[in-house]
Amino acid sequence: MSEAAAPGLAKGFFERLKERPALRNLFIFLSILGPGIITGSVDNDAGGITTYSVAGALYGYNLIWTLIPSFVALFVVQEMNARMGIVTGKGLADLIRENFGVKITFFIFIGLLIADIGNTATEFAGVAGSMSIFGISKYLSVPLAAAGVWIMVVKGDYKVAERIFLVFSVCLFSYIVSAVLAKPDWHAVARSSLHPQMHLDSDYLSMTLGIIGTTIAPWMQFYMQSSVIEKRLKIEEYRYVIWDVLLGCVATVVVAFFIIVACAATLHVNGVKINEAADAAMSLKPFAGPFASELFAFGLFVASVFSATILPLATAFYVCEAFGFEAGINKKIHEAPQFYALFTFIMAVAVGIILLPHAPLIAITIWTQVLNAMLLPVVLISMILMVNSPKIMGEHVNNRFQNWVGWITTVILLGLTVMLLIQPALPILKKLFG
Amino acid sequence: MSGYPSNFTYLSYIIGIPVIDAASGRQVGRVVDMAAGLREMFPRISGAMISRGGWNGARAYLPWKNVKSLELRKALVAEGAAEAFAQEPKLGENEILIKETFWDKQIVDIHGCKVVRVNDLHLLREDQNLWVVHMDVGIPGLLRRLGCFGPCDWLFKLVFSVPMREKFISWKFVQPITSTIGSDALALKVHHSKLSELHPADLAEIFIDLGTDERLLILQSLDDATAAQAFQEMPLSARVQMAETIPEGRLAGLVDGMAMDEVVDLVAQLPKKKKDALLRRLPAEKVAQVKGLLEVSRRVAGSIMNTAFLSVRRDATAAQVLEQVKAEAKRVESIYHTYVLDENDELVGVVTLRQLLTAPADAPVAGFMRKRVVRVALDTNIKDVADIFLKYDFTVLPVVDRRGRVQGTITMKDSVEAVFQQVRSEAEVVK
Repeated sequence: MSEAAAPGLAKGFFERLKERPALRNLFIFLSILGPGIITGSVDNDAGGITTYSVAGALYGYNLIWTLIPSFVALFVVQEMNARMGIVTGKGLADLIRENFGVKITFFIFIGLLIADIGNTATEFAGVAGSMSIFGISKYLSVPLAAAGVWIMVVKGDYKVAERIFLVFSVCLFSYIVSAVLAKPDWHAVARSSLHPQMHLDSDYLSMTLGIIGTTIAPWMQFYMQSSVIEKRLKIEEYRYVIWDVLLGCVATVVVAFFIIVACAATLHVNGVKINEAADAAMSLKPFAGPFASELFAFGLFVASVFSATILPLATAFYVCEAFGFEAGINKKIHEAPQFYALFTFIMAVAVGIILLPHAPLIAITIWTQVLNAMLLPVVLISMILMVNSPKIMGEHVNNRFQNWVGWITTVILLGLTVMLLIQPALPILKKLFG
Repeated sequence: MSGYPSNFTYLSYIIGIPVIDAASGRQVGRVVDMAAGLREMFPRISGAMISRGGWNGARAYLPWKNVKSLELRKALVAEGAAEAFAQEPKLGENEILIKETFWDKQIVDIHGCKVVRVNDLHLLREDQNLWVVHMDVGIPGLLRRLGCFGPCDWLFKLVFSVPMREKFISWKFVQPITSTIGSDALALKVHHSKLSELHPADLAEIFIDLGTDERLLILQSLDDATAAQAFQEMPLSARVQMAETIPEGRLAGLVDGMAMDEVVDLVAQLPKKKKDALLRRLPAEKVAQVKGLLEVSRRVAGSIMNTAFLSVRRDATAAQVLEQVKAEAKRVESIYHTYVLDENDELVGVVTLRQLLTAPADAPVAGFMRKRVVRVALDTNIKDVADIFLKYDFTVLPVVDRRGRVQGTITMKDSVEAVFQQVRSEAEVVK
């Protein structure tokens, strides 16, 4: 905490802080701010923006309602992570390894590693797509962005990086402007948010799962918990952390909402089909003007670079944590060779995939999402089991409401995943037994 | 395989194997854990925990003396294995379950001064007797646990033409820190804490690497002086976080052993309830000092000084002063400088330990003291204090009040730390 320059002034400021609890609380809150907001922003990555744009273009305002359960689930899950981080002082990977043994850990982390390489590739696809709107070739933009990210992480300082990320988070609000420029029909938006129409075909289901799955990704739980530990928060500060988490979740959902609205008001109304976020930015041009399109592309670029930094970093970090290697952005390369090697490896593979001519991007995105969706229940179940164990959490175990929401989220995700996986098999089964 | 003779084995080769009852020749369960006694130099396997299997199946304790034969990765044949289930499984006075205590848990490697995660245990085997000799913290151990060491090792040899490197830590350098049930007993069982051999700065680093419970466990196994030193070396934010979870009684003991300026920094950041509880347990004079220093602004010499220093009158002889240095060496921050005061307690000179040792024993200090003492005032800005250190090359400076009475001393380290924090926080965006 820095103080004002003149001692007299500083004294006055702190006196005022002591006298006015509201001001003091705000001050403490600002010093704690970070983990929740950053996690919430990373959450709206290229994959997320793609999912929201496609959802808006395909179903108009019809899928906005899914953001409400997504928000509740996201908040409850992230809050559990923050609480576990503060109470135990340990990362989620550590806890899983200690309580569930090496085999389960290994399977979760191999899955996460593969999924996150796919995720990172999706981020670089976002960089390539958004820069192509500005007429820059992917063979220039992707290597440059990757090199920039690598240098920032390896040579940089975590504090500086965190500041940059917070500034990044603000940039994501460019989507709000894009959405307003698209002149949506706000009555229709409100109507479909409050009276959702459900369909039960596989496309609609997979879109629903896609939105929930992109809002709650498995790696986020690990990231959230380690950034809480990094901040060395005290149990006393827990109530401020909740606000930070809440703010992060609100930011996530608000940005998602405006992306869906922007695409629904323009592309859905005019029946334009898109496959990825960059298409959405392109297609906005004729309907909402070049400025909205460029803003959309800029938001996509920022989100992609942002997540392309955090994702490989978080992945390298928790894989090392689980298997007992030194890890951390504050360590030197020779102190944590496995950590930096893994980070570089994930980046290199992801960039390599994107730079391949005719890379099967859509397939990679879909498979990554499926892997995420399959891993998420496993991670959530281990989390809920641990957060309810008095041995681990002492008096800070879940209350009944948190458990209900946690289990319901897990069950719904499991159900949706299973439905999705057996959907293609249904006709075959009918033929066999019909 | 590794460079060890074949009478070494791994815990992972025993956990999970079937247990055969010697009398009937039938399988009665599987090995789920091993108990070891901590009386000897190396923990000796004293029993096996066996289970009927299934979710929370019945468990039984099988004394190791009943074991007839042990075939690694195959089976364990023992007498009375079937009858063992008739009794409640109970561990002896000095026994621990080694799988539960070590597998996948963190330990402190005293030799390398760091926290590592245990993949497997390396056991020495002589006939039927087993001892725990090493903790396996290497990749091969991880692969063995995953059950794919053979093929992986073969592949590795094929590619790199050398076998994979094992990484072991000898039991002699292991400090367990598990927070499982019965852990308090564990801290007592591993009777003297090996951690007190470490340098406080290394201990502090280990503390930072651990979770909340483990920190408390380790703290419990250290004496107040060692714990206080390690505690002082931690970054302030981590210290405050840790202090929040330490019981007040213990915290008071720690704080009592800490330098005054560090105590003030800590107390200033503690939650109010904790702060009050702590101050109630400290000696009255210490509380008065802490409260006095808390009033001082964070940016002046008074806030980073230490109140324990050596002072004598002008007429004291070198021998008398040396006696005093000896008597107070434990209490004060620097024994190298002794400040000389006149009858009004004003600072008039300083003598160094070197001068005291070389001066004639009966010479009064007034004769050989240095009269021009560089000093700072209570309200000197900490940046100016740092400048004076840089200019004069001193290691300690006295801090005086308006009337020239010494109130405390500042070490170069404290000064640099204080300024560095300030410089860093000024460079940062306002948090």
